[in-house]
Amino acid sequence: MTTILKYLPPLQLTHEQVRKKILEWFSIWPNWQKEIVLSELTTRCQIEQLQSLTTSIEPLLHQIETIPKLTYHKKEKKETTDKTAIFNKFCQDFSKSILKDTLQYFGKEEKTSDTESKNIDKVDFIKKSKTLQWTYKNRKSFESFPSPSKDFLPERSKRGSWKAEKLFVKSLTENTLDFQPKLIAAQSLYKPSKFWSNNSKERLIKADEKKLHKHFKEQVEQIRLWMNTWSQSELLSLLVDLLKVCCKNELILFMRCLMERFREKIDIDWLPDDILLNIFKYLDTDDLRNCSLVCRRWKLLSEQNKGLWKEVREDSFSKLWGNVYQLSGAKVRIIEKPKSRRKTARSDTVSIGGLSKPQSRMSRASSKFRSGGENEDLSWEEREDLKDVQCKPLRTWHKKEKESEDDSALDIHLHLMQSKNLAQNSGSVTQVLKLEEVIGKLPNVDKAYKLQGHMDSVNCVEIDKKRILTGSADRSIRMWDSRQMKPFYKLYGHKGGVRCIVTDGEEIFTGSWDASIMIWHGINLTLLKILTGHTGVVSTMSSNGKLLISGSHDGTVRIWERASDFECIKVLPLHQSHINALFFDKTKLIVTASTDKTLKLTNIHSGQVIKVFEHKLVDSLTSLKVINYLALCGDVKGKVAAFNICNGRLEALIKAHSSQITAIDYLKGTGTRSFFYTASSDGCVKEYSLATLTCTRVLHGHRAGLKDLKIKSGKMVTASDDGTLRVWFINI
Amino acid sequence: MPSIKLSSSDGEVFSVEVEIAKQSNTIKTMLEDLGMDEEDDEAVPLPNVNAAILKRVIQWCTYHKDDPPPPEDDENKEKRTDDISSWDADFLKVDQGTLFELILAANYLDIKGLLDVTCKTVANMIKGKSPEEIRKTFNIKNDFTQAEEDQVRRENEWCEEK
Repeated sequence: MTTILKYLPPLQLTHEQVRKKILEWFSIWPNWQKEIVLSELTTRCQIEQLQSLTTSIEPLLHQIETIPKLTYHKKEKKETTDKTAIFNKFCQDFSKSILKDTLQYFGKEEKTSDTESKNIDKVDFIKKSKTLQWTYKNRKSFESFPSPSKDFLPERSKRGSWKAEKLFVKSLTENTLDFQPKLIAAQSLYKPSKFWSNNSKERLIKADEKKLHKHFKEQVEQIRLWMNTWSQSELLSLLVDLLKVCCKNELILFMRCLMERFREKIDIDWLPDDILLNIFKYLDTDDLRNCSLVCRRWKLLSEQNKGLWKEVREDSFSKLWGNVYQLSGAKVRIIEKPKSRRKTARSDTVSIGGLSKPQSRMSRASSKFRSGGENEDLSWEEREDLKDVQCKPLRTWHKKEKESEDDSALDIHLHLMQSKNLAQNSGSVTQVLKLEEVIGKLPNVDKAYKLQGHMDSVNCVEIDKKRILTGSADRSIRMWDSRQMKPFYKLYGHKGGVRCIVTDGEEIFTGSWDASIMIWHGINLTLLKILTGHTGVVSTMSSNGKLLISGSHDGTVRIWERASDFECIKVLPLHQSHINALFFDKTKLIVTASTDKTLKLTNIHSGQVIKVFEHKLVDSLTSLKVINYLALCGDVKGKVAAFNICNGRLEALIKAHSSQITAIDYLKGTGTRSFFYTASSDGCVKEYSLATLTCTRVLHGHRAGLKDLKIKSGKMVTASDDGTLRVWFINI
Repeated sequence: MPSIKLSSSDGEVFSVEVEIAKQSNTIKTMLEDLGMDEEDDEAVPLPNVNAAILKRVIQWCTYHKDDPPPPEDDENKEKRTDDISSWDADFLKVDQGTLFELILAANYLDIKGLLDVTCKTVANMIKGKSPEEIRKTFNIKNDFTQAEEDQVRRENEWCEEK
């Protein structure tokens, strides 16, 4: 056999042809032979590829496990029908190969042939391959050769090959498939003259075991040769094909081979996608982000998980609230700013680069202010000039804004003017912000979103790790997914508008115009408790996990203790008028800002008022933010006062807005890069450098006055009377 | 107590009470669909599970046989991973290979409780780790190119919590 191989021209078999051939052999081998080839193939395949098989094999296994059981009682019958089916199939296959051989033998050089052709008489083959040259056409004709019909079959086999008959007989008599219909053998023995003659006598001969084994050995050798040149994917596809024709026993063996292979190297990669996804479900954003950086597969999966998360939220949202939501006609629009607008802060720097003149004027103006301390301001002309140049890059945006109408959420003007310190006595503000200090150092507003949904003004905002919670005058509390910027839940319960909202992670507390506080479970969002006691609007709250402090328009502060299931443990009547804002240092001190124009520092345990802050220029206080020892509070006239908590002094007082300041929040940075933001009912947010009390930017966008503003984890959320929220992504 | 026989992939046969075995939805449906009788001597073949793992699974099922059926997945509920009982925690103090095999077995046998608790254990192994640490823990190869990795980082930036 091997000697013949030497004389053959190198075989140019396509993978498809070889595979067909191996399949042909395989389907008629006895079990032990199948097993040898299977295990050989399995060891050749890479483990990663085998992994993919476990899923594709599952249905096969299932079939094995169930079918025999189901037909348990019909076992006998089934067996016989099986046999006939197999027999018929075998006949077909066999006659096909005979046809193939015949065609080959009759001078049609077939490159597609493999082992078979090698067994044809050496001389004959060489002669034929030399003389006949119509390879290509004929391969085509061969391939389109009709497979023999059933009627055709017996006749053909009868006439053709005694070998075939021998095999049939064996299969019939032994009632098994344990025979070796070796085509190699058949071809090397049969004579073409006999094949076509009608005189051939029927003869039945038993297959020679030795020969069969020898042929099998050759076949395996050949398969090995082929396999050496194959790529992994080809090996795998062959394996899959082979498995398809396997019976139960081989499959079980194969599974065992597989398990053995895997045992050496079972790791997390081996888990199927749905299990990994299941695991990812337990992770939060941070961990998911890390996972997406691990490897490609995890990246894809974690992205999918984000999708899942979104889908699930939306699903439950639409199920629960879909109807209400639709009826209300509320719409959520998400606006992502076009790229050109995103780099606002940077475009500022670019334009300012050439501003040497206004810059000098600027510093002149500031020095004027510094030296004089007078109410002298920049002349109108100068100011116009400044504005003109500085607004240049903004103009294009304004145009765009008109196109997109009220969708615009981002609008920045740079007014580098130090505010006058109205608190003359202090004089503590000595630093002046120079233009060059600001350039490129402003927090970037990367993106701005507009969230719509509330049917009345939005009174309060709270930022959670993944959520944005809002309370509105429409008496509802809405939750927004702060990653997708989509609403996902809505809570109802309050009889009045929701005035304030805070969360400590485990619970969500809402205070309302109806003078009650509701406690909601932070995760499954059920109403846990309603706290009553206040006789006025609950306007502000703070929690440290153990205590909940609430301030109300009735002038009192109430302290609720979690340990006793939110019993009211103390009532502190601190102010004569509304309490509008409070700060709790999470241990024992609170600072309250009230309409009675005072700010009070109180020890909640003793109930003692430690300090009262007031100033003749400070009006009714509406907002408060405490930064270390500095209490920033906004009043109804639009002034921001900075009190030093330690010594009670008014450190600074600036006129920031034209009307009431509703909220102040703070973005920590280094040196002059700490900023505080004021939200006002005049509809804009101003950004101030804390060290220099200089307004560095004004953020427009809302159509009506602002109600609340919160900054957390790189996001600034503003709530407005126009019923919308805006989310600004701020990077420092 | 009626019992059935389960045979592992490597041919070992375990006799298990039907009630315990029915924690596995796969076995449950198999029994129902096939109308297997209790007195049926034939072992239920479990070709995906080897004897060592099957033994552990049965151990888990035996301990948890009186548990109420696990609640349906409530999607609004945040998933917690810190509620693994101490017995389960001890039970799952095994090497990674065994843990993953348990997950696969639980998945194949469709035992929700076991699947949940094993997945939580793996999630806990991931939590709070940097990508590099995760790779090290699970022996995963980093198949990103540098450019790709930067790209992913950029994509992730916007949801960065500070």
